Amino acid sequence: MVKLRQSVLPLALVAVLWEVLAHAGLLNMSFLPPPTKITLALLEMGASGELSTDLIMSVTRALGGFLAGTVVGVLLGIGTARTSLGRYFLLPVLQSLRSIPSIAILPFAILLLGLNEVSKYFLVFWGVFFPVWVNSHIGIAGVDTQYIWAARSLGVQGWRLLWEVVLPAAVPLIVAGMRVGIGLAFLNLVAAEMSGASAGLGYRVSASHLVFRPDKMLAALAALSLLGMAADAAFGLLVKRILPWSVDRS
Amino acid sequence: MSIRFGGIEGLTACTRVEFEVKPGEFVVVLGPSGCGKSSILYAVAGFIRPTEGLVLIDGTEVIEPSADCGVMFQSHKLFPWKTVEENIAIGPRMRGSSNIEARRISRALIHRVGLKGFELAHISELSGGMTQRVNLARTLAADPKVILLDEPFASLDSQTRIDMQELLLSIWENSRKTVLLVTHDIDEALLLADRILLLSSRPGSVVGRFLVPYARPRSTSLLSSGQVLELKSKLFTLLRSEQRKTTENRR
Repeated sequence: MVKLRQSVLPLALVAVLWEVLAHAGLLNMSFLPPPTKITLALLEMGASGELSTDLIMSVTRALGGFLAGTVVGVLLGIGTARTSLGRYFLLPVLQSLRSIPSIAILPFAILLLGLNEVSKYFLVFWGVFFPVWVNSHIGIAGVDTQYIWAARSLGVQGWRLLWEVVLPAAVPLIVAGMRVGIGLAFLNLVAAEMSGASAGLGYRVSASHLVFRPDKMLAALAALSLLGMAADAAFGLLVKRILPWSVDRS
Repeated sequence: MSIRFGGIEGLTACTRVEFEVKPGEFVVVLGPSGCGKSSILYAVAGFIRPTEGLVLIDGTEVIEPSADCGVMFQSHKLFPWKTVEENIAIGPRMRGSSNIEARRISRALIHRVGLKGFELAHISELSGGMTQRVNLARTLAADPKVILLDEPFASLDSQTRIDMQELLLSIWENSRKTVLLVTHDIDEALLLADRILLLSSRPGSVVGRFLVPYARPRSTSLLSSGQVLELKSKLFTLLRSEQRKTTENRR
């Protein structure tokens, strides 16, 4: 991962170049407003309260769907990796659902759940669930047999075996699945917000299109970019702090 | 017992292996590489079931792994998500000790294996020799009836291996636990064992049983003394001829 600090200079250079080209008349300002105008739009959105509403809505939906997708993904990963019912029944069903590109489920989710918050959370959940489930399954099914043998000859059994040995051993893969899930959470969030919402950064992008405000659209896109980077960085720090062994090897 | 993998047509790891280990005895299974000696150990631990025959501990058949048998593998299998102290405390905790008591046992053993100061270290911070010290301590902490050691020092450098053998000797000579150790190292067998079982090449079966009569407490200086020469050369000749068969079978 590129460090945030290292991306400041290249981004600043791109912004300066963009600004210069725009003022030199080489870019069409009404379609490609320069960074100064985007910054002004961002300030305007901040002052009107629009930005904070959009941010709060988007972050809440992304976080809620992400947490639900992670919990269900890990639980079903345990189910498909360690129970025969899961392996012979649930696994093939989930495998076929996983092959559907997750955004394609959006109209169906709206049809089924309605054009409301539930369908938005659901779409984020749907995107996060699959990578977390697949990685949990692979991680749990692939735990070194000798770890389990060693634990059992120390008297570790039942749920303690799962909690103290199997899950921690699978954590590096589960974490990798969650990281993929973060990206998909934002992807599906924006798709859901673009099709029928009244707030949120995805909504702001499509609404700015309708009223022809490319400056606001680019401001919302910039906010999405920052939000995505911040989420990934925060996740990386959190993992390093609470699950240090899972990053030792990577 | 016999152990076969993959059905009747499959690979026979060992055949008609029969032996008994008395309480407090240190028995070494010595055999060429690939003779099925680890499989025997795994059957005793309950990790695999013998195709024929059975394993009894105190008259009870072993059908699954339990805290009766402590196992130490060649590669350590310590849990990297736990500290040194937590790894060693697992056995006492599972036996029902309170956390405080488990920690006390853990700390005492850390001291015993010479790792004072590493209580809160993570496994990834330790060297190969240190991890096997923790491994030994973790196995001892669970206080099993039988300790099974699967080539525990084979991946260590020769000096560290000698350190570990001496540590094991001194701990064993004080505690007199029942131990079954598998190795292909004649010196290790002579140094540690009360009795050596020599296995043939695959399918392994017991082709020789030897008492190791040297006085205890022993130390590694035993190996450079004249008294071991006769047994050592006998074992060497037998092991070489079995090893040769293994090599020929592979061709």
